Amino acid sequence: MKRAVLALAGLGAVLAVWEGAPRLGWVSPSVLPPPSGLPLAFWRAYADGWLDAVRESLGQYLMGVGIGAGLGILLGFAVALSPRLEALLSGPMQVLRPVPALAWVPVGILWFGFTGPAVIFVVAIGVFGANAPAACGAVQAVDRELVEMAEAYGQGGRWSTAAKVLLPGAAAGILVGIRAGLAQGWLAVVGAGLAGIPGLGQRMEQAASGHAADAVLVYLITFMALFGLTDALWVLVRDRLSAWQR
Amino acid sequence: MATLVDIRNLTIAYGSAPPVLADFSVTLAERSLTCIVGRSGVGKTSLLRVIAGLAPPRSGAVVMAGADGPVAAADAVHGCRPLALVFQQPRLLPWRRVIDNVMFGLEGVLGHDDRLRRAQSVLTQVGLADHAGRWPHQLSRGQCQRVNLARALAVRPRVMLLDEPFSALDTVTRQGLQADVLRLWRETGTAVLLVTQDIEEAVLLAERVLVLGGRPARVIRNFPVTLPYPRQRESHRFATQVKTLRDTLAELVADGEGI
Repeated sequence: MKRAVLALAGLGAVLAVWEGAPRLGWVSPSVLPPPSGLPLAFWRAYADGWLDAVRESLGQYLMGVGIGAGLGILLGFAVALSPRLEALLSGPMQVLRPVPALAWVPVGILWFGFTGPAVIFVVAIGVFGANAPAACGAVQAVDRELVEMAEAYGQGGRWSTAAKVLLPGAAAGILVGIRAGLAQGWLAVVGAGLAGIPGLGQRMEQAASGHAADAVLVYLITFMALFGLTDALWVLVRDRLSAWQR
Repeated sequence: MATLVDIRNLTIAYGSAPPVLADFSVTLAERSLTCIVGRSGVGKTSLLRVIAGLAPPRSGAVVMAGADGPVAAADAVHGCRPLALVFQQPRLLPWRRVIDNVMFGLEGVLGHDDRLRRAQSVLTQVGLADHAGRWPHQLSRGQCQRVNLARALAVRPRVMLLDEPFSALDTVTRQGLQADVLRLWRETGTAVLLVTQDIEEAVLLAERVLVLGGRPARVIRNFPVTLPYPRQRESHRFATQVKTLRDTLAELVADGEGI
């Protein structure tokens, strides 16, 4: 309770300083508009198609996350279970691992143009990069004695072991990879927008170019809210899957 | 008693290394209780893994009576396995509740209701009926070992293989579980093959004790325990049998058998 009160007090102090700074002339409102002006800025953005942009970016994000996480977890699983595949992919992974996710934006534009699929591609690459090694490590870390136990009790078939031992045993590590991927995905959405691909990021970049600081803040807060929403969903799933640890 | 398992000339080795256990032959009768004793690393756990089919022997065979006949077919239909291994560490799936861990070996064999009934019944047998809904981490070490035992009992094995299941337990818990194993052995009629390093435990439980020793290990003594059940640790006859077995082992060490 005391902690919650302190947290609220801290938030209130930040808002007060933020509101006061432009009003007292410490900074120009064109650089940092006061929070009291944001509702109006938000209304203008809404009238200008904010919701469509949210829908578009969220759809591209979810598609990219689904593809990237799905393929990453599948490949991570396969690599963890096949030393031959691990050896085969170790070379390409060493070469590709240092490439920052945002460096794939120009590649996405080159292959797909300034279109939604380019955003999906960049998001998927970033999410894949976070999920594949996490899933691989998590599966490799599952206690092999549990796998042997499953075999001793007639559950040692490939699919049975994967579904009943490896997947639940690796769930915590896979979830960590998914969370990192969710953050990477939003980074990719912003990066793709700044490069000019239509969506929330592009609108934010256009607002900055037009020195519309309040609109920049509206899109910044939008990204914060979307990231917070996806992260909160992740926490819900994590809590549900890890009930046995409490 | 009729022979249930015929273990013939088993030789166990890791890769191309020299065998750890050679030419091991023994038969297990129905409703028998046999203990294997031997020093750490002699190959006791490897032997149980091979008997349980978790690892191949370099040579030899484990033959179950009626393995291919109608008995085996009936076993499979009724959710029974010929063998069940009780591990040294409980190896419970931490993300499954106790009841789901006990039902594990019945999945894909019995329907959910039958699995549930069977699991509840064996949890009652091991004294954990009230713990069915708990997570493994909420149990004591002794309770986890009881769940390990219940999971094996749930598949109604004809032979139960126990790999030093009490070695990590405190004395009181260990003695409670030893009494449980004896009771369950008599109630269920399953044959039991128990590996232990504890001479007193072997004399308390077994009808006969096989002593493994030498390099590669082999059976160097077949020691029948002639005491009637229930055995009293405090009795003079019990102490005499323990001493006789200890002396036998000491003689073997002195003779260079490398127990």
